[in-house]
Amino acid sequence: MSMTTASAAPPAPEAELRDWWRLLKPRVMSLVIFTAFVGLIAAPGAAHPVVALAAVLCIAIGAGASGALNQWYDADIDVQMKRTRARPVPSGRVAPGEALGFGVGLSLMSVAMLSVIGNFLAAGLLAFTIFFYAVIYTMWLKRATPQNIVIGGAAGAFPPMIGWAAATGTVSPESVLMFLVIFLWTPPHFWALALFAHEDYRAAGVPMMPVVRGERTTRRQVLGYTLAMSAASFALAFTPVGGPVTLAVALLANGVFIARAWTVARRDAGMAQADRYKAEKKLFGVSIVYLFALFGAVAVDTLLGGAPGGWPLLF
Amino acid sequence: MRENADPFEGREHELHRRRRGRNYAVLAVLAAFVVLMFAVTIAKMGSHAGNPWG
Repeated sequence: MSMTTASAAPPAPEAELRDWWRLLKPRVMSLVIFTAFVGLIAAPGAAHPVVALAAVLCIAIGAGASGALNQWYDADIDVQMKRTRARPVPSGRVAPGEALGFGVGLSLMSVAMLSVIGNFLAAGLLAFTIFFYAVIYTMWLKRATPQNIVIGGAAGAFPPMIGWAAATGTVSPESVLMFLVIFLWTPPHFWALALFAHEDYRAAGVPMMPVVRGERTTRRQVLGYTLAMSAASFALAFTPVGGPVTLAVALLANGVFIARAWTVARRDAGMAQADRYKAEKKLFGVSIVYLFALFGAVAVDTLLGGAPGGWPLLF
Repeated sequence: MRENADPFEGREHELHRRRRGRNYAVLAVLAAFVVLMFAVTIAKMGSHAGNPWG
């Protein structure tokens, strides 16, 4: 290669540490870590703190690995959207093959480690979660149906169940209810974002609900899922992992969430464009606080000794 | 002398700096992994104290 050619070619960007960190989707990972941790400590029988920490770390690495696999596969979509085009793969800082290797390597490592540190049920659930997010959601549902994030939301809902399984080796009604809360929380959370970013999704050809069915249907469904999620969160308060703190937080948090969802449901595209989707952005922010608050309340009730004597229990 | 200076020198230096940073990070992760495995082993052995088959 001549010097002239080398000088003319733009320098290949090289990944920095933070690019590899971003491949793990750290913000999603923080939610996974927190809910998995709550699932683990809420489970009956105290796990050794070091073992609990290691198990949560495995779940976090598994979640990060599925984020890397998602970014490897979705680079063609991400490069077309403002929100995602600076990600490591579409920006060219990490080669697609490297992201794939990183994701597969961390997936195998996290599952193998959890099988040793925890048990085979927890490891199996983690493996299924990674498969569900990377293959079922990313490769199939995301590009195929407006129900993509409804079904795909299951992947984000598994962590507390994995945490519980790591501590007990079982799946219980309580852990299923924690799964259900996050599963029903995902559509209003994600569609709030999709409402104000739907032009991006339209341009990239991703069949998100606001793009395919329109804003009106999406807004109605946001409210519907919010109400269903509220019912599940109240049910959680009346289980052995719930208690008065969970009930109090559920009352307050659901009140705020439903009020925000109601506002979003009553608006139309014109009103939203007039104030640059202010209510939808607010709902998105509230939804994140909601999940941390509710699971934080379960953790507090657990630390206080679980549901007190005489507390009404569903099971 | 200035015109004979390697035009890629600055970039090479930058690349080496980044790679060194990345290598140290990998070292730190591996060291943390070893410490974690050791701690988990001790914790697991502790929970089975007195029962060599447990």
